[in-house]
Amino acid sequence: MQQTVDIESIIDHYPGVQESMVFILQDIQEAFGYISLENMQAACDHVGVPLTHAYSMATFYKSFRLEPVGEHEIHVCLGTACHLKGGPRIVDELERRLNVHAGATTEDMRYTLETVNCLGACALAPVVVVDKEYVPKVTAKKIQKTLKTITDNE
Amino acid sequence: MSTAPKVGVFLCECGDKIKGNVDMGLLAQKVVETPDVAFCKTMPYPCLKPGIAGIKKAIADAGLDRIVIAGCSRRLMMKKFENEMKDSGLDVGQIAMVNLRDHVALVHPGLEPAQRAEKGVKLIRSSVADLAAMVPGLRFQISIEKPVLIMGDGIATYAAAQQFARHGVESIMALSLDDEEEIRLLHERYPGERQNFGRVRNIMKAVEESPLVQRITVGDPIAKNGKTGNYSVSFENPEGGAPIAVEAGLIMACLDGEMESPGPEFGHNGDSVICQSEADEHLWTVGPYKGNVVFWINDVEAGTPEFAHLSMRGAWSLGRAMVERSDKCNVTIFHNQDTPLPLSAEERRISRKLGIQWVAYDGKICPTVQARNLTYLVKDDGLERELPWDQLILSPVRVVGRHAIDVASLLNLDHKEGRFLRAYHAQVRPENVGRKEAILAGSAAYPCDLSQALAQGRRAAIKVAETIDLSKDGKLFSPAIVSVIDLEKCIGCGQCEELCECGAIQVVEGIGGAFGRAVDPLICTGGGTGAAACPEQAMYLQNASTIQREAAAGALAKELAPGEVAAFGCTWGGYAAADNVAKSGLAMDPRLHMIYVPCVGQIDATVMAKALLDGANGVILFGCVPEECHHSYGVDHGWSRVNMLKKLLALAGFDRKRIALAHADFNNPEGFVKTVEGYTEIIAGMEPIERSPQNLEKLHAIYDTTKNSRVRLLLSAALRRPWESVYRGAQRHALEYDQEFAGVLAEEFAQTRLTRALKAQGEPQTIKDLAVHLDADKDYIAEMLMEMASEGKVNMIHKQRKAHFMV
Amino acid sequence: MLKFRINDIDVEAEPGWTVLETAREYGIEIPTLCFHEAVQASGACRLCMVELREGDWTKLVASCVYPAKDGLNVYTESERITNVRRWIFEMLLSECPASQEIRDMAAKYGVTSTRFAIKDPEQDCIMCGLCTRVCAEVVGVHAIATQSRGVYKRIGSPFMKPNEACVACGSCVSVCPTGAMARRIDLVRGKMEENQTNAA
Ligand code: SF4
Ligand code: SF4
Ligand code: SF4
Ligand code: SF4
Ligand code: FES
Ligand code: FES
Repeated sequence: MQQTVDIESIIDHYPGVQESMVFILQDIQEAFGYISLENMQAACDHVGVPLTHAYSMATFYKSFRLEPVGEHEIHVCLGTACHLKGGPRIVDELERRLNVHAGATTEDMRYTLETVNCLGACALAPVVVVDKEYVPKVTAKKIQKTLKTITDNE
Repeated sequence: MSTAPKVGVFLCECGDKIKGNVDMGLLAQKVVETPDVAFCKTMPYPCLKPGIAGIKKAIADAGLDRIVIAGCSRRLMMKKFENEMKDSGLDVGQIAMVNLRDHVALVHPGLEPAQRAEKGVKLIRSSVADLAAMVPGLRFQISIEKPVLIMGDGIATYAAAQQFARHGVESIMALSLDDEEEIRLLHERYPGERQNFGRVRNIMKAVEESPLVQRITVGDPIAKNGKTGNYSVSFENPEGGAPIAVEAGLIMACLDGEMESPGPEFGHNGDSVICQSEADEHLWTVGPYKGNVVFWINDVEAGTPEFAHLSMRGAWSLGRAMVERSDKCNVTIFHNQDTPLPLSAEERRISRKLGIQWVAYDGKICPTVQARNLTYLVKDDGLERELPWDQLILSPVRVVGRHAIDVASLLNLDHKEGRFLRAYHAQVRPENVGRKEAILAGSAAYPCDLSQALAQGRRAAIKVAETIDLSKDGKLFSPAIVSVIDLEKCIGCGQCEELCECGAIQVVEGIGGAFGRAVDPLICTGGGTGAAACPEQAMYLQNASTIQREAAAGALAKELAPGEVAAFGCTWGGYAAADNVAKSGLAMDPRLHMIYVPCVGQIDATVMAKALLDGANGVILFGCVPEECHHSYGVDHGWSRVNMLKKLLALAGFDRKRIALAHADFNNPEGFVKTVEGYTEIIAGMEPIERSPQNLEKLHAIYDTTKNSRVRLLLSAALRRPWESVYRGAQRHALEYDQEFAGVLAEEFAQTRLTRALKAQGEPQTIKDLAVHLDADKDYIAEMLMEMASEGKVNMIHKQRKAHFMV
Repeated sequence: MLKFRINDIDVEAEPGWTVLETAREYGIEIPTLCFHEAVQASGACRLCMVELREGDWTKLVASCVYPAKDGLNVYTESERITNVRRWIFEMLLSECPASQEIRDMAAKYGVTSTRFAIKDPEQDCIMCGLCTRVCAEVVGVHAIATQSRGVYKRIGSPFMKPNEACVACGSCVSVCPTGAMARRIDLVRGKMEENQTNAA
């Protein structure tokens, strides 16, 4: 079994030039789900730029995360349409089921629950995105089923 | 360079900031009258492009070889001026700045513009005197032609050698172990990393095949000599016989940290409770344990939370290997809830599949090891829980091993007790930072995992190779301001070597066989603490010497009015705090006149004495707050020197408070202003020192005593060493030492006075004459004279049956 | 030698000088905020706006970055400029209401209140970037940087933790026009003792 991720092997993949930085950060994020201080420092040492450089870049793009995330990410839309059609109730439901606050990660690091501002899928309201997959017109029941599928698939 | 200095002075108006507050006409007029000033010009903004162009023109037209810019903060502006003036032929050290704006123009609301000009003149004259006293020294060029020596036995050796080979740089690996032994050691030093051993073997193979890498087998290192470009290192011969000598252009150290077993406080017994290194060995020699195997990541409790993630990674790969090899073991990784899981999402999935449990405990209460159970709390729950174990595996204790320390100290990388080798290193300006970091790789520098160690070796090799490339292109030069040792004067006492934190000083075979010292100009950061400490004043800071400081102090002191104070402020503490006074909208006592120094530790005692001698009634040194000094504990050295001066002042019958040390932080200008006020009040409240012949004689004697080798050697011996971890050092018998030092000072002071008196009188003197002349006790004088006579410092003759003395 | 006019005065400049530099050389003061003599101009705050006139046509430019050119006709105190300055000060007052320095400076130009909404009453930083520029260009260590973007933009060290790269020189504090850096620096430099958490 050789599935261990090793920061050095990610880094070694790219030449030690500034242009590599964004790709290295992406790969780190892909492998670890987030970019830790240690890993960012390693990337900077490799590329030869100060830590601030990578940090500014990582905070500039919304897609980079600097805090650990769960294995599964759940985004609940709270745009106007979804809000009206019961988005908040879905958030409550998920918070209760997963025992976690919106914006946080469960203690076992399995789920991260977040709210978003309108996913542009108002026709499907209320919408939840689970691991990049859209779940349209969610109800408490549907949520339960989705969570179960996740556990089953593991 | 011409011998007669030609100093140009440029006065900033800085819009209205200076012009609106200072009588510029008066200022310029007085500056022109200053000796050595060949040119003076008032400009709206010398620092903007039009101003820079004007300065360059003046340098060319008037043939200036050093300039003073009376403007604002040198911390902010100096780099710009230095860069701009390079092509006008002025190097670092030939440009000085006086902070006219923030130390004078904007902070003295109570003064008239003319009074501010008067103060400005004093500061400028001091700076001009400093520059005029400079004997310009050139930058040293360094060439590196010999191979790089990699020593220390660390695993990073191989990665570094491989990198050198790729770079086309020759290297020598000096190892005491063979490849197999190195691999075996990895179990112990990098537990749970067996999956990476294949990589290590590949690197080893590549290195073996490279014609650029030479491998030698050596014993313990014995000695290192020489400097960058030209080192020779000798090792013990493992086969017995003559030591092995290696010549190298640069040295790089690869040092692995070692693992120790945790103490019994966590239940370690080497059997059912062990640490990860032991578990790794057991796993690969005997096999996995059976039953409940619990890895307790106890780094937080052991006081090293920063290594918890390393221990977690170790536990994870060991635990995983165990479960994959045996279905009779259950692995639990038990960790503090504050330590984040260092696993990727994929690894977490694997972990779940393998049934590895991760239990986070609340560190409020330290978990307790009990027979077969661990008791602990979880977050937000008061219930005490139990975790059963059959085999408990603790985090290893990471230390720097004996061997690593030996190698490090051979390379002058000072080791502080309880610290890893990558300890805080004085950062002066990045281009001045020594190469210390670059030449060190491996977990003894700072704990890391195996692949990081290899990467460090590789990266350090890249840095080293860059230095070599520079030297090949003929572009490797030392900074302009570095310490230089005059071997004619050096007695080889070794004080400088001990005090230097950069590891720049080494032994050379001196004149007449004495072991003198030499500075490696590429490593020297120009802190100047060593130079100020040298008993013989054999070491000096080129382009920023003590002679210059004395000139600056003297020139300022001559100008000071009775109630005014001469001050020295360091870049990082005192001077920076003063720079920020105006910004914070505060006012500063105008009686304080501050001279810039890079660090308080650079101020030789002679400089302080010179200020007092030439007219100052109070002298204060503003350094950094304790433990924040940027230069090898310079502020502590300042403390020792100031206290010596206090003793001398007392011996001469002056008030000890005429010299003082203070601490300042750049971000606390309020505090600084208060300290200034407090001290100027003290000095203003005292009668000024009457400059009578008697008093001048005493002040002269104080100055001479600060140059006395015996006094200086004793003083140096007491200065805080880089490895001492307490402010002002951790001397064994501090009081005892101080009492003895006071005695020696008294003796040398008295003898200095006698010598001076005898020289001044020119004819033999009786004890009584001298006692009257020096206004001192007759018996004491007699005692001193007898001692001096026995040491051959004075001659005794008899005239009219009375003993007379002469030099 | 370039020839042009500032406030109807004939001035001369070398190629490469900016309008601001030329004006200052002639003793004409233009207020600035994000400009500091020690670093490259960035043109971020727009306080140094001047008016360029050519016939009926006029244009506003930031003098700290606008290069001197032959034949320019520059006005530093026109009515339009006064209005723009007021407007900028009002913006600044709404963006960093907590800075006494900014309030003082605005008051000097007669601005004491703002029409704009105050987003964060605690904010004291105007994001002029002087601190990060001085840290990078003068000190050369890049210990601090601008992070995030939009309304979340802020200044600090990575992960808001003490940065080992910081040499604690205080240059950033000295150049900060609002006093904001003085309140942030302790987080950046940490305590030196903590920087060496190397305890074995
Ligand atoms: S160097 Fe400093 S004081 Fe002189 S003009 Fe420039 S900013 Fe002003
Ligand atoms: S302190 Fe001075 S005399 Fe002593 S070894 Fe160093 S240079 Fe030589
Ligand atoms: S104090 Fe630190 S952050 Fe500020 S300029 Fe200096 S190095 Fe940069
Ligand atoms: S902290 Fe000060 S210098 Fe830095 S961006 Fe904010 S206002 Fe500008
Ligand atoms: S640097 Fe401030 S006292 Fe040494
Ligand atoms: S000073 Fe010119 S844009 Fe800020």
